[in-house]
Amino acid sequence: MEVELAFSGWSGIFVLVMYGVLMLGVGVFAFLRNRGMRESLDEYYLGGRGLGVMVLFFTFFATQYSGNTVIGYPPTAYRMGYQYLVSVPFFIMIIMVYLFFAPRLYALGRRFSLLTPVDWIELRFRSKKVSVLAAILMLYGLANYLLEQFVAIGQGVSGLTGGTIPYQVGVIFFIVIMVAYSWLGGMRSVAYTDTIQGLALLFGVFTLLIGSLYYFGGLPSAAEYMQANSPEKLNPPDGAGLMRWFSLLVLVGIGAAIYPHAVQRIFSAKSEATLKRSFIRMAYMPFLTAGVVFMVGIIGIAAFPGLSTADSEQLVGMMANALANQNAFFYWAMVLLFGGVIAAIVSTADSVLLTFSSIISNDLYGRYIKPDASEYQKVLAGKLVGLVAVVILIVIAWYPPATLYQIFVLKFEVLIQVAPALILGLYWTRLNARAVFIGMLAGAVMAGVFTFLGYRPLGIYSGLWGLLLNTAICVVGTLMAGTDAASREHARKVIGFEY
Amino acid sequence: MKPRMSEPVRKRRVWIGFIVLFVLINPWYFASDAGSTRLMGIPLWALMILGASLALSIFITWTINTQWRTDSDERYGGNDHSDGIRRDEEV
Repeated sequence: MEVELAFSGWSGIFVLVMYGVLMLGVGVFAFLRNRGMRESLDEYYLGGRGLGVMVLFFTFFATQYSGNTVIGYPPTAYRMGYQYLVSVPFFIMIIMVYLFFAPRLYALGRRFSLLTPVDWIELRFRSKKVSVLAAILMLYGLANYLLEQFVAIGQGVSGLTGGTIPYQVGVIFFIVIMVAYSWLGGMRSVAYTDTIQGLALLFGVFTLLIGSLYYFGGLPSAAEYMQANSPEKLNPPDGAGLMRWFSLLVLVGIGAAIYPHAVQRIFSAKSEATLKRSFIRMAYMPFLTAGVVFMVGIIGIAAFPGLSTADSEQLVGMMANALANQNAFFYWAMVLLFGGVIAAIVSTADSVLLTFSSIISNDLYGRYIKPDASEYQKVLAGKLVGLVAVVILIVIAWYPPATLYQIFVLKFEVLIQVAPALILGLYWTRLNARAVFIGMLAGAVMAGVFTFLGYRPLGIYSGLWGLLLNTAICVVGTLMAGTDAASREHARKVIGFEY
Repeated sequence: MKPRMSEPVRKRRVWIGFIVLFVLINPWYFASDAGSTRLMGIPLWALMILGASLALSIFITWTINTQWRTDSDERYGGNDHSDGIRRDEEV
C-alpha cells in the first residue's frame, strides 16, 4: 500500500504539520472544556454519553471508512473491474446488521450504563471465562487493526512527502499526535477530530473524482477500453466470483457492525433519536465514498492501462500526481487529498486505541485485577497499557510484515467470533454460557488456522466457517445441555427489561 | 411494568424486506455476458445492483423511522445526562 506522490515534498510537510497542530488544538479544547473527564470512565471513554447527530455520524463514518478505502479500493477496482462494485452494498450491509441488535443494545446501554461490548457480555452471562475470552479476542483484533493503521500512516506520509519524511518518522510523529489528543480529551476529542478528518476525506475523494472525470475521460471511454482488452471486467461475477461477492457481503456486514469501537459508539449517543439519524445518514454514505473511489479505480483502467498488480497499488498516487500537474488548484487539492487520507487512517486508529484502552480499564483491570480502583486509576491503567501496546506495535510497524492483507483479514476473522455472544445473547434467554465459551474458542481457532493455511473451502472466508461452527456449538450446546433456572431468570430480567 | 419496545428484529415485514433486498444485491440473476449492455458507459447489471443497493438504503431509512422505538431515554435518561453509575445492582 505504498503511496507515491513525489510532487508534494515540502508542501506535503507543511500540510501535515498544520494538520498535527489542528488535531492537538482540538485535544486541548476538549480537555479545557471538560476538565474532570479523566475522573470518570463514562466521561473519558463515551464523552459523557452526549454525542450529537453530526459528531456521532462522523465518528461512525471515520471508524468504518479508513485510509484503505481511498488508497486500497481503487487498485482493487482497477484489477477486478465492475466485480468490485460489491464494495458499495457491503458498506450498506453494516447498517442493516446494526438494526438487528443496536436498538436493544442502546436501550440496555442506557439501562445498565454499559461502557464496552465486553461489559454487556459480562452482564449477560456473568462468566469470567466468557468475558475474558471475548476481551482477549477483541484486544487481539483491535491490536491488528492498529498495526495495520500504523503501517499505512508511515507509508502514506512517506509517499505524500516524496520520502522527505521517512516512513519511521511519519509513524512516530502521527502516533505522538494521536496519543496526545486522545489522552487530553478522550472520546470527545476523538469524535471532534473524526469530524474534521471525515470532512477532509470527503473533500479529497470528490476532488479526485471530478479531476479524474475531467482529465482522464469518463466511464464510457473506460468501458470501451475494457470491452476491447478485458471484457470480463465489465461482466457480472459468476461461480467463485459470486461466492466471493456473497461472502464479502456477509463477512463485512457482520464483522464491521460488531467492531468493538463501533459498538462502543452506540453507547456514546446522546439519545435514541441521535443514534437513529446517524444510522440513516450512514446508510447513504457508501454511494458517496465507496462508490466514488470505485469509479476512480474504473477510470484508472483506461487512464493507466496494463499495470501489474504491484504497480496498480500506486494507482491513486499516479492519478493524483497527473492531476496535480494540471494546475495550482488541483496541486493543492491533491495535497489536501493525501492529508485527508492520513486523516482517515489516524481517525480510525484513534477510535481503535480508545476502545482498546477502555477494555483494559473496565473489563480486565477494573473487573478482575483491581476491582476497588477509583475511576481515575482505571482510566490511567487503560491509558498506560494502551501506550505500552502502541510501543510494541510501533516496533512491529518499524519493519512491517509483508502480508498486510493477511493481517487485515485475520482481524475480521477473529472479531466476528464475538457476534453470537453479543447478538444471540440479546434475544435468547436459554443461551448457555459454557456453549458460548466453547463456540467462541472453537470458531476463533478454526478461523485462525484456516487463514494461516490459506484454506478457503467453497471460496468462503475462514471467518465465516469459524462463525458457522461457533454458532452451531452455541445453539446445539444450549439445546443439549440446557441452562439452569437461576441463569435463565437472570437473562430474563436483563433482556426482558424487567425490574 | 414492561417497557414499550418496537424493534426491527421482531417485525416480519422487516425480515421479508431485508431478505428480498439481500437476494437482489447479489448479482446471481444476470447472464455471464451482461457487461455488453451499457448505459452511459456503465454496465446495466451494475446499475441494477446500485439500484437495489439504494432500495436497501431507503428500506433501512423506513425501518429506522417506523419500526424502531424504545422508551429508554424517557426511563433511563437520554441527552447528556449520565451519572456514570451502573444500575445493575438489583439484577
